[in-house]
Amino acid sequence: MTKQEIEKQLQQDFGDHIEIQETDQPEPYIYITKDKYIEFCKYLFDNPNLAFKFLFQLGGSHFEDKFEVFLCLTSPEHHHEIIVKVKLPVDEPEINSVTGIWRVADFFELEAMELFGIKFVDHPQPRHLLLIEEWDYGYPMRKGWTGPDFIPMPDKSKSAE
Amino acid sequence: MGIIEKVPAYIEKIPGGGVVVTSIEAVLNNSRAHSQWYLLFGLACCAIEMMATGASRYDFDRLGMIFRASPRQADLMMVCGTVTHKMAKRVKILYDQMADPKYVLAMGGCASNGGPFYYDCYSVLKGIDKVIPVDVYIPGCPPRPESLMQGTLKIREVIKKQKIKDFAGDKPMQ
Amino acid sequence: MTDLTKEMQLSEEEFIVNMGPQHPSTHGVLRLLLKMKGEFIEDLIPDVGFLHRSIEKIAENRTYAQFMAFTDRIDYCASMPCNLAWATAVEKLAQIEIPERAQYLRVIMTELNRIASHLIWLGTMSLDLGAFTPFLYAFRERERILDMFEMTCGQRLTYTYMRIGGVSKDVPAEFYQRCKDFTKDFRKKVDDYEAILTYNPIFLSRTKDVAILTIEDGINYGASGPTIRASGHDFDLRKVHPYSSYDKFNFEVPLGKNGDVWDRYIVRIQEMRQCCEIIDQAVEGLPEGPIKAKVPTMFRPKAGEVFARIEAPRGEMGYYIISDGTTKPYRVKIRTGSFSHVQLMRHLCKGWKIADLVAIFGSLDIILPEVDR
Repeated sequence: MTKQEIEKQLQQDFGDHIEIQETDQPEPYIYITKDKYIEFCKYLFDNPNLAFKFLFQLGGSHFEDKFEVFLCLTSPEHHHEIIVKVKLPVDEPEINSVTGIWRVADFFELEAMELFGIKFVDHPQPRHLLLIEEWDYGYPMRKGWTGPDFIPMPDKSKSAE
Repeated sequence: MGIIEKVPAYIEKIPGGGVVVTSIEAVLNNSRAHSQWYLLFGLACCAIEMMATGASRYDFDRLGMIFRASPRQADLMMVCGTVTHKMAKRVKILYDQMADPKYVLAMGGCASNGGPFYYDCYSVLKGIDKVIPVDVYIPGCPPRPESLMQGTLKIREVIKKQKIKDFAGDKPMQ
Repeated sequence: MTDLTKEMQLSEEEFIVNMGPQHPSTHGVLRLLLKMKGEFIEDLIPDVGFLHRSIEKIAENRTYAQFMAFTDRIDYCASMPCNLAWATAVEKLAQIEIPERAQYLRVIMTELNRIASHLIWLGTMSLDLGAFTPFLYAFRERERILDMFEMTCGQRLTYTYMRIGGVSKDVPAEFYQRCKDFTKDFRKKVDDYEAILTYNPIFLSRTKDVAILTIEDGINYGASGPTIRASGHDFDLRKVHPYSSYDKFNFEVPLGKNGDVWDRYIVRIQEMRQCCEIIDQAVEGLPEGPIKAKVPTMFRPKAGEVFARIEAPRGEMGYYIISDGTTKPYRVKIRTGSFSHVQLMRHLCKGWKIADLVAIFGSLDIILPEVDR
C-alpha cells in the first residue's frame, strides 16, 4: 500500500484520535493519542491489509515541552513502513507497554526507561539494562543533563577569538 | 635433528667446556620474557586486531605467546578496547586473580585514556590506569598488529629489568 | 541417571550459573545468567551493557560528517555497511543525488566487508565448536581483503571510508586485478571450508535440529538478516527496497529450510559466494565519473525526520534521525540486528544444554557493540 492509501485507511478507522504529520518522506508519520495507543498498535498488527508484524525500533526523545515515544514498524508481507509517535507530558511521562504484541519491545522499552525516565506501565521485568546497578545520577539522555565523569566537548569557536 | 648432533662440537670449543656462568635472575627473566602467556580479554575493536595478530599472518606463537582463557594461567593482560564503568569492576577482579608477577598492556586509545570516547560520554572509564597499574601503552585506533608486537617486545624489556625481590613478595594471592 | 539419584535420595535442584563477561565463547562482553536444572537450561537472562559507550549522546554534539567516524565502532567487524547506513539516512533526509561511480564503489566495499565479517563469524564459531583449522584459514583469507582495504583507504579495521555524498578516495589501479584474483580464489576456498565442516558427522550432530526458529516467532522477536532467512523467510533489503544501485546486479538470496543451527550456518556460507558474484559484476561495470557529490562543508539539512535501513551482515541496521536544521542532529536512534537477536536467545535456548548454547550463540552471530552501542 502506498503512503496515501495507508493514511486514508487510518483516517477512516481512527479519525479523531490520530494526527498525520506532513513530510516529504515516503513513509507515513502518524501521531496517536496516549489512551488509544494499545488499541492502535493491535489494529496495526492484526489488520490483514496493513500487517505491521515487525517492530523495527522503539525509542524516546526529549523536547523542551514534551517527551515522545516513537515506533518504527514494517511489514514483511506488504513491504511498507510506518512511524507511529505518541506525545507525553514532561512532568509525568507514562505509557503502556507493547510487549504483549511484539515481544522484541522488551529491551527497547528498558533502554528508554533507563536513559530517559519514561515509565512503561506493566512491563514484565523492569530493571537496569545498560547502566551500572548503582546508577542514581538521573536520566543521561535528557537534554541538558550533566553528571560525574561527563566531560562535554569544549567549544572550539570561542578559542579562536 | 642435524643441529642437535653438531651442538657438542661447538660446546667443546668454548673455554671452560660445557659450563656457562650467569645469574639466576638473568635466566629466570629471559625465560619469562620469551614466553608470556596472555589472557584472552578482548573488549571491543582492538580485540579483532589482537585475534588477527594471533592468527595466520602475524603469529604470536612464534614469539612464545599463547592465549589462555583463565586468569590463573596467564601473566600478561592485554586490555583491548573501551572499558566502561560496568566492566571496570570485573577488570579489577580479573587482575586480582592473576598470579604475580603480572603485567598489563593497554592497547589502543580507549584503554589508554578514553580515546574517541573522551568527550560527551557518561559511561566510559577514561583509561584503564585509573583501576589497575599499566606497564605499556600502545596508541592507535586500532593499532596495527606490528604495533602490538612492538608493545609485547617492550614488555620483554620491562621483564628483563626486574629483580627477583620485586615479585617474590609475601602478598597472599586473591 | 535418575534411578541412581533416587537411590541416594537426592533430587535435582535448580541452580544459577554465571557465564561471566570474560568468557572465550561469548564473543565479547556479554553476561548470561543461566538457570540450570541438572544439565539442561530452564531459563536464561542476558545481562548487557558492558560496552555501552553512549554513541547516541555523542551524536547530539557532533556534526553529520564528524559522526561518520563513530558509526564504524558500532559494528567493527563490518564497518563499511555501518558507514553506508549513516550516509544513506542523511542523504535521504537532505535528498542528495549520489554519483554512479560512488554507488558502485560503495557496493564493492560493502560486499567485501560482508565477506570479511562472515569470515570472522566462521572462524569464531568453529573455534567454539572445537575446530581450530577453519579459524586460521578464515583469518588468512581475511588478511587478503584487509590488504585491499588498506590499499584504498589506509586502515585495516575502522575505515570511515564513506562521506555524505559519496566516498572519500578512489581505488588505485592495482585494485581491479587484486579484486578479480581474490574472488576467483575465494570460491575455491569456500569449498575447502565446506569440506571441513558442512557434512562432518560431529558438526552435524551438534547443529542439526538444534534450536529451530519458526518464521512467525522470528518476526515477532525482530530477527532479521541470515538468521530469519535460514527459516525460509525470503526477505533481503537489497532486493525488496534496493539502495545504492543494488538493483543493477544479479544475485540470489540463499534460504534455509528448517531454521536450525545448521541452516543458519549454510545460509552464511552461500552468502559469501553470492557476494563474490556481486563484486565481480560491480568491478566489471564500474563507470567513470566523480566519487562525491558537492556537499557544503558546514552541512545543514532542513529540519525534519528520516527513517532509513540497510542490510548489514548481522541483520538490518537502521537510523531514525530528528534534525532541527542546524549542523548537528537533534536525536539519533540506531537500530542494529544483534539487539533483537540477544532477546531471541532466551526463547531459543530453553531446554538445551550448555554445549548447545555455545552452538546456538555462534549461529546467531551476535556482536556486543551492536547490542550496547
